[in-house]
Amino acid sequence: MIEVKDLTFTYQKNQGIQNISFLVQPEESAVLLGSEGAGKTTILRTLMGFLKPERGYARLADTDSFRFSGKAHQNVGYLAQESAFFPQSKGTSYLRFCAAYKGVKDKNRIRELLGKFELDATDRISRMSLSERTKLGLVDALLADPQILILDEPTSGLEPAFLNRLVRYLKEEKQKGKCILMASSDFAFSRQLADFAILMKEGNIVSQVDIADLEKQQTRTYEIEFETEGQLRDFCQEDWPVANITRRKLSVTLSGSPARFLAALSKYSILTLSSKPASLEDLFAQYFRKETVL
Amino acid sequence: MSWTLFRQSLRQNWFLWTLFTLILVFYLTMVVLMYQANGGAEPLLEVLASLPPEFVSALHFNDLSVDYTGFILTVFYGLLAFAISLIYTAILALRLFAGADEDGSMSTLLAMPLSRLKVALTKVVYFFVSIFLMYMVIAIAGFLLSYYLSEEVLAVGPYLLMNLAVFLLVSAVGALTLFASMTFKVTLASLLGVGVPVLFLVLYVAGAISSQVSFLNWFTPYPLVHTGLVLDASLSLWLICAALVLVSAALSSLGVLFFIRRNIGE
Repeated sequence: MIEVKDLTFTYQKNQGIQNISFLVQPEESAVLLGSEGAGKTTILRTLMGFLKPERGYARLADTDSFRFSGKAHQNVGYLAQESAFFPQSKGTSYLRFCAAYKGVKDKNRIRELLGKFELDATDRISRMSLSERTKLGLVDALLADPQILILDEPTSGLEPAFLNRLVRYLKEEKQKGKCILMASSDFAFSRQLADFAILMKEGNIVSQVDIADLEKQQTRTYEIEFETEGQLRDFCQEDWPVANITRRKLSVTLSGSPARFLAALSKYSILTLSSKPASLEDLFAQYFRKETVL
Repeated sequence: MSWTLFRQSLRQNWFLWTLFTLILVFYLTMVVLMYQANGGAEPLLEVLASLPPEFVSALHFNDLSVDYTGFILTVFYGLLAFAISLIYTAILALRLFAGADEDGSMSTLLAMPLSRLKVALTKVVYFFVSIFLMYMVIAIAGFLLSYYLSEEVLAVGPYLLMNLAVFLLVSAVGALTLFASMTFKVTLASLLGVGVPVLFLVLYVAGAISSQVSFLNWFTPYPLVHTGLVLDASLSLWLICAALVLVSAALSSLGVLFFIRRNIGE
């Protein structure tokens, strides 16, 4: 189980994270979504015990991850955003080194995972592509078959054909009782794997979205094309969660009945109006609409 | 203490250790050959007599002994050996902590099921063991070089005592860099951890130039270990050795305390 409660950390120069709380249970997976600097990696690094919380706590399997990091990491697999793998080592040497630390006795485990991830790790890490390094990090994270997986941008550089296999593999791991927390900017991947998404902005959680609700189409995105740019500007002055604004088009993502929204639209000359089930991107865009308007 | 991490530290730093050990052994060979080729210390003493006394003092050669052991102790275990050891300990200490934090490998390490205390203690032990092994190799090399290249015989007691004392001195100065490396980020760690030991070395040279500036010796630990003290093997030597051990232990412990509380990769 991953438990974060009132977690606050401030960097010396930049903002950090404020009062972050969430819980990821076994057989659950969650994704942290947010633009760069939103605090996703800071949460993961605090969970890994690299950063000392100013307030609140981060726990892995009921163990404080800063005070008792060694114990907390006994059942955790971690993929760093920019893994430092000792670049002069060969991939296989690095994995053997990790296996030694993690007490992995099964000599076939490395070979088995390399096969699953279609990775030839005999080359020096410094010569590996981003995709190969991400796979190497994933193999390392899964090496000791941990109950908790913390993955920072697990799709970095991965070829699209491999992503489906990764989703399948991680889903299987989840069904075995693993608890997965990841930070990702890959919406399609996140939607396929995560049970819920934690949307972050400027170090705060702005929303927690149940992916199953999205799948049930309770939330929809409306795309509207106005007759004039002036009308679009007037509509933007109203208090609707607009996003994806172009010259005369915008989108609005809403949950529940759209009656009030449609009534509001009746005041404007609309060229086209369409709706579709909301995606994670739509929700994400909705929370970041201010930046879009600018 | 983690043996896996100790072995990994060994693999990562063996080249650095070998390089600096070879440099010191090479320098020791030159000193032995210098004595042997000139048939003793007298020719060097004559040359030194023709040099400005301040320069000779700065090199700490003004009480150069004519006998073989005294000659080796004074010429080798002086300024140059301290400077070479200082470079080694500075590079190693910075690589073990601040450098590893900077390049991200410390985060990789701390993501393993290892407590911070275990990581810190293992690296600290590796640091001191590597210096100890360096001076052990130098000590053995001294005996072998004397046996094969010189007709003289090294006095075992004083020679081993000098190696022990210099090992403790180099360790204590190195512990300062280690402390800085465990406590601060790489820039500040380099400034403090290298700047202060270099200042010690400068004061060691400057303080010996004349009696007017000899007070500078109070601000550097290097004058603590010298040939006269080792040859006397008096209580002072043991007190100084104990003090150096205490300084190393205190700085390392303090560094470990800071390291287990600090942010990594901030």
